[in-house]
Amino acid sequence: MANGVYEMMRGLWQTFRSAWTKPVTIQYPEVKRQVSKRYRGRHALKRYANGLEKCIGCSLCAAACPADAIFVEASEQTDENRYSPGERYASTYEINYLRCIFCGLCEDACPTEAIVLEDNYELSFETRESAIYTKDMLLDAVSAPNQPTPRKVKPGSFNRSVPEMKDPVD
Amino acid sequence: MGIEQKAANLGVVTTTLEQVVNWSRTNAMWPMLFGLACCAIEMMAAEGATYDMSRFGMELMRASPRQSDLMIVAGRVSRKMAPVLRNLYDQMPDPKWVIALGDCAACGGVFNNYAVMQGVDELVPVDVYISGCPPRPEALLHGVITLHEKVKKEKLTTWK
Amino acid sequence: MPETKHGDKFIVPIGPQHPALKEPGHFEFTVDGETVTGASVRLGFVHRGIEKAAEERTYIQDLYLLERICGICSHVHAMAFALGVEKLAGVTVPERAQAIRVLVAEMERIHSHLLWLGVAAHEAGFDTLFMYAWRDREKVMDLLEQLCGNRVNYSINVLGGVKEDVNDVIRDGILSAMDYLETRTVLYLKLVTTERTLIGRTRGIGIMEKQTAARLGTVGPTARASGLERDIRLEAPYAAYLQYPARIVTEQTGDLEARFIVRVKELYESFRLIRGILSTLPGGELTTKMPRRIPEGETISRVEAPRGELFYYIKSNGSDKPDRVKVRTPSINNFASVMATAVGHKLADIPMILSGIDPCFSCNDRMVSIRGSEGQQAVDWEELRLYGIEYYR
Repeated sequence: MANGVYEMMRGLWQTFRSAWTKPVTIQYPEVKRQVSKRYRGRHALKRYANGLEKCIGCSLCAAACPADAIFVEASEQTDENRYSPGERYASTYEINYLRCIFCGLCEDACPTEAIVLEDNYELSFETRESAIYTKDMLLDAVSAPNQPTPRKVKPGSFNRSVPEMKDPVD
Repeated sequence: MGIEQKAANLGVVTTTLEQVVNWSRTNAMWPMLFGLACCAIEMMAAEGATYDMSRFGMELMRASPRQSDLMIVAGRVSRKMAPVLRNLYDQMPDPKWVIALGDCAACGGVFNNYAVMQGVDELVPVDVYISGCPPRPEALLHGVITLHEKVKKEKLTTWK
Repeated sequence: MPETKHGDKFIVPIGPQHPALKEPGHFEFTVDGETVTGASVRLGFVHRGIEKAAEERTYIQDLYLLERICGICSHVHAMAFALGVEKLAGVTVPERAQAIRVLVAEMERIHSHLLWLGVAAHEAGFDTLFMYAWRDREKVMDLLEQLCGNRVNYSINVLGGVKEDVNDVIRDGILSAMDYLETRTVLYLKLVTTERTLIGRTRGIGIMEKQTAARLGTVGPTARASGLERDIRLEAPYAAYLQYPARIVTEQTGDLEARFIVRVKELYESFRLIRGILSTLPGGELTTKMPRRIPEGETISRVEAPRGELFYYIKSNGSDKPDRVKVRTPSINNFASVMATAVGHKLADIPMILSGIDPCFSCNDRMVSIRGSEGQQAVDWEELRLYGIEYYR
């Protein structure tokens, strides 16, 4: 009996003591924790420094994807309407986020480093249709001095779809 | 049945009643203790101390479907599991909601084959789909908040 | 409660959705009063056709597919497959990559054992330990996220190496977390050996003798708790376990308490290995060149998952897709032991005995089991075909 009371008091003492320690709970919607640099969240389609799209519509990401989540359709482009430095550009680029398993194989497959998995993980949808992200939702915004795509360029200024690149870090 | 039909067009009274009931529903939504695969691990992590779902009134995971309001389908649903899942859903009392947690529950995910249901919405009406393989506990909480927003918009005439 | 009358005994069905575990499985316990006199299990509720799916994808895609067999020990599945394919291709993987694989495998073992400790304590009605263990587990999960980029399915393996490197920040983070976890593990060991609420549910429950454990073919911590010295890390060292040998942890009593102790003590072993790897991490490349088409042949690959021996059989037909992948996971070996040890216990002890083997239902469901009216029976292919036609008529 006395032992039982002692045990109970000991347990309550632990509870009392824990009440004064710093809580570990992350107050999620108010406080958002920074994910790690390597975290694989929602994709983004990147642009070059001059504002042109990196994606050349080669569909290698769609071929690599283990879950068949990516759909790419490429179209020819001219110097009048230029999207990317290559011969072609992605006229349709869709990712179904209810198929995507965030493995990062598309990132590895991409020859121009156009697709990058970023840190957004807040992906919940009320319908299945709204989980399909189209190109304009994925594409990064154009930074200030650059013109949006498509744009008119001097003929012959872009003739190489895969430029020289250095190894990515982290 | 009852008050919502009698008081359906009393204007400000029903609006306030709507708000009160929807508010109370969002703040005591007990999920069912029901996991299927990897996503269940993250669901349990969300129950743990670091993420603490009880902040959203989800303190208790009820093992019995008759005591739960929310079914979190955590993981892929195989064809063998499908009738069981529907049975569990039927046993839950109204009002009830379903969250499809993770790719596999939402649309089959990477398992595009004979054995896995291509989306749990073939069986039960799904309110919120959460993407991720598996989603982080934060993503689950985001889905829960999305569901709360949806429930808050529910109208008195469509109440169950 | 749906109980079937069967002579003067009752059959209590449990599952597929049941309070004991979060994954579906169906159990039938024949009870006499409150004592279990017979037990049978029906699995397959999470069958995904993953082996067939693996045949339709390339080797590289399979790596990500097979990682999703299990949500807890995902890395060892990918590692076992990668090791097998590398063996088939005759490729030597850089030492640094092998060391990082072992590092992640050991971190995964820590997270798996802590997870199990929490779940098993939850079954025993000791939710404080559940909260403690899951809180500390988040430390490992954060580290794995930092290192690999995801919390559960890490995708760090590639054929011929690993994808991500360990830098100084991550190394310091891991080392300080290991120090913290080691102090916590002291508490856990004290809890599982002295806490009365837990001992009441574990000591002397579910005893499995050494001979029984050997006969039933148990693996992993379940076997080691019965005194069987089985550990693939020592018997057939793979990856970098030759350079960083593990020490075996065994207990002799074979009851649930022994399984608790073995798993908690294995945490120390993992801390030691991780420290060893991080202090002498070999330099060099992370990946080596892999052919896209794997030469014809067949191989097996065995690794020690947190639950025991994980076995992969890979057959290649010379193309870029495997001809056959067969997976045998540790939980399937251990399941027979639950059915054997459950007999003679009270029904209330069943959840504890069940969680004592650390079952992973997602791992299991990859088999064909035919049950006639008179218990188990073996069938040949022709009979199976006829049975199938009859079944679906």
